[in-house]
Amino acid sequence: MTNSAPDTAADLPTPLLTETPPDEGAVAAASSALRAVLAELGTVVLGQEMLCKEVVLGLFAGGNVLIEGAPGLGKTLLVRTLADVVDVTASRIQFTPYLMPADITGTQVLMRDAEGRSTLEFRAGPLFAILVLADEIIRATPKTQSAVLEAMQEHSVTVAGARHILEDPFCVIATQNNIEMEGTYPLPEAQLDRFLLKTVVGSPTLEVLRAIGVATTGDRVMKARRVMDRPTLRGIQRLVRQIVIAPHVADAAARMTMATHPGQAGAPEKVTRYVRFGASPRAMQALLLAGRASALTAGRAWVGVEDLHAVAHPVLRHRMILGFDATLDGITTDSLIASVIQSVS
Amino acid sequence: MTVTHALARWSRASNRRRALEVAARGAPWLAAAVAATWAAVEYGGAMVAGIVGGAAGIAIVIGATFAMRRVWRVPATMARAVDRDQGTADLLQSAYAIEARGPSADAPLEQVVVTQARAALPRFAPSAVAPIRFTLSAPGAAAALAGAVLVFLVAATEHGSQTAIAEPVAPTQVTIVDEEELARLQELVDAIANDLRASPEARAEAKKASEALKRAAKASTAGTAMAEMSKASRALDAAARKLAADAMPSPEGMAAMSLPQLAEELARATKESDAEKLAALAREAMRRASMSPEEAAALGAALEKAAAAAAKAAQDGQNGQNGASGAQDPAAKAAHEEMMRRLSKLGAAGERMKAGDNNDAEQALRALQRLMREQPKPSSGDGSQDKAEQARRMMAQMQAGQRAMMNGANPGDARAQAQRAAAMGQQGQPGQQGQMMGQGQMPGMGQMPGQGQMPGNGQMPGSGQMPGSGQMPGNGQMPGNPGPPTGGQPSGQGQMPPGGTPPSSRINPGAPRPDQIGVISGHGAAGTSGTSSHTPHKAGSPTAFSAEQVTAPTAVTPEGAVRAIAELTAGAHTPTGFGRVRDHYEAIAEAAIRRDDIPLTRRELIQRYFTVLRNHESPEVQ
Repeated sequence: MTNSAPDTAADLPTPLLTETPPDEGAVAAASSALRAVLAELGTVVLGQEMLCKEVVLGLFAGGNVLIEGAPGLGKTLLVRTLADVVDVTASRIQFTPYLMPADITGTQVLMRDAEGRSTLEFRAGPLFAILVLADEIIRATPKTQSAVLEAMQEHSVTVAGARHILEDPFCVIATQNNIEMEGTYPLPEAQLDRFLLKTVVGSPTLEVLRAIGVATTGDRVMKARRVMDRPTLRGIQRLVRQIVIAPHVADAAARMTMATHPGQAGAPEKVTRYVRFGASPRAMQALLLAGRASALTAGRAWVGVEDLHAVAHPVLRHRMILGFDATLDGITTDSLIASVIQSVS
Repeated sequence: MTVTHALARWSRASNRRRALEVAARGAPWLAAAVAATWAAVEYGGAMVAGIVGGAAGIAIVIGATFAMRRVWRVPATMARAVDRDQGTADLLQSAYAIEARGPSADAPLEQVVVTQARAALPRFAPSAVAPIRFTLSAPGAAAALAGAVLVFLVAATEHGSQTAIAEPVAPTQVTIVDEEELARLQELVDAIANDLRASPEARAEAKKASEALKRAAKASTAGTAMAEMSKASRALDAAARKLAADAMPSPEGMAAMSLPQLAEELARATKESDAEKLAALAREAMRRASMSPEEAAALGAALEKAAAAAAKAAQDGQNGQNGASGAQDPAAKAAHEEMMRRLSKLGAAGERMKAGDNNDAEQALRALQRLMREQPKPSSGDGSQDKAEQARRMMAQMQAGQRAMMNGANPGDARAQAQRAAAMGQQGQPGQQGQMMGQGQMPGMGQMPGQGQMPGNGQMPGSGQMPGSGQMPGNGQMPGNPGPPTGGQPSGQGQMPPGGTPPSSRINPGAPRPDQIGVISGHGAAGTSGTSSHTPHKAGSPTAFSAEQVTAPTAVTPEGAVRAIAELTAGAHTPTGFGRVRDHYEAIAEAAIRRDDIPLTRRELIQRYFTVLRNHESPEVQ
């Protein structure tokens, strides 16, 4: 577990700890704060703007993020940097097949006090952080995965019958490698559904690769500044949930969710042909949450349909189960989501 | 101003502008529809035009409705449009929804949204409603072009048809109307118009005929000349009818006559072979006779006396002529004998009446009348009636010549044909009639084909009303319906050749039927009602046909037909009544053709049949 502390005290935006009803100023401040976080992340994590944005969205929407990508693309760096930027504790769990649940949740340790009496003392595991990087989560056994998933869902862990609440806000950023799938335990769909977003990390461009090489092999250590404190983070998370959603936006989100189900009215023909199971109602919740966060990032107090379109891919790509025909025909979920968006529009 | 109000106002403004645009885009379609409807009126009539116009109107209304539906704005759709145009990510839609529902106290940011939307309204207002743009779609342009082409074609066709009608049919034939003949005809007609003894109505008709003849003389085209001749012919026939009616004694006049006067008038009518006059007088005589036996006896005696006196006078006159000339003309002799026979019959009727046998007397008078209908009426030569009859014959001859020339005959042949037709009682040759040179008259509609009325052809002088008998048979225009010429018998023009046996007529003075054939008076054939090789459907390009109806003559009287057959079977001579029978049948066939009762493919066959019959007949038959 790593405790991050700001090296320098940056000019923090106006705190959002006020209990008064938010106003336009609060929206503007939150938007500014979010943009500052993204900008600061961009100074360390080069060439991954979309990744940074979606992770930030997931954090501020109060959800968990699943990152899929090849090794060495900055996934761990991103989490550590994010922790530095928003002044939260972060931990990294490297999942291996022999990792036990107690290794991540913590365990009770037998301790002898000064008087020689033996007591059991709970030693928290790496899950007890605000930002948890679950690296290569699919390499762990389902038993160990379930410990993480319980934490994601309940924001607590149970050890020896005792329930330990995790500190709020709690966010798990899990990663998985889509190359080495042998010997892994892919997350089941029901558990994938708990991740708010699934973002896919692409390979950097030539320019970005060049910049990464130069920046990371030099004498200078790249370190992000703290631009947000924890209360602000919590305030923004509360504000996200207050962003206005008009009925037509909610209707659009519902229709998009319904359109992922084969055979439903409004579902495009490709969905009917290639999808086995569509997205659950959690998808609609995720759409609206992520849409709110996206709107707030854009400085708006209301969600537009374009916000839903912007978050549709990371929200839906891990919630649609494709049939074998899709594999044969080379159909990806992203293409199906694009057809869903088009059909709803 | 609230967002809702602004959106509503912008919606109304947008809808007004879009409506103007839709109307402008629909104008070419409307023009095309009007053009199509006009073409339908010209070529298909009112019903077709109504269908075309109605369908086009409905289609335009439906198209405009769908077009307006696509662009119709309500506040919600207006908000979506403005958000899309301004890139405001559903700001106005969200604000509109919040205003409609009312901000929630639990959602403080809703008020922020509404405030931001209201603040943005002035910025959006100038471009919120799209300006009017009048555009012409490709289909609309094509429709307008098609409409213009259609209008041009219809107009060109009308102009062409009118031009075709106006142009003379035979441009090489300069002299359509023989000036010399026309002058003689003009002289006759003017004499009638100036005859103060004639009634004003008759003179007015004669004046109309005279003016028409003058226009015919000045006509520059054959079509115009024939049209004017036709008008003159009709007016002349009307004048002849009125003159005949004038010559008839009025009921009051007859009632005022004494018995001797009545008997003398009967004798005169018998002598003149004036069947209509005889019928009127006979009716009065029978009325008088029925009053009392004494009256009947006195009238019968007067009839005997008058008949004998007239016979004696006629005989004396005949003897005087024979003595002066030294030889008796066979025709005159035959006519004299016929007259004597008639007077004898009149005397016999008087004798029966004197004996108290009114029924026999009536039958005898009817028989006498029938006999007189079959005989030509001698012409006095001086009266207006005679002039009218003469003019009508001349008119018929001229019209026959005109048709012959317009059918391609040279003037000499045309005149010969016309004279032959006149001699045969025909008005034009088969194949020449029905040439509807835009005269608006259908052949065989009781008129000279395309020209008017044949003399004695339905429009019969004296075919007015018998006193107390309603319509004389043969009233109206009956195709192929010759009547007794009221004029004289000049040189076989339209007359029964001397010695010809007149076909009988079945005119019952006591029971006239409007559909009866007029008198088949044995002179001339029934006017051929267009036994041409052309049906009206094949006729030129008339733009209008006469509205006159063809009253198909009923069958030839059984008597006439029986007589014809009897004469045929006797084999002694060629039946003279056959011509009458044929003419009647021909007229009936023509009438049926005009009524479209006979299929198109059969009509020419029928007309050729009668033509063949006519051509094979010997002159003396007719």
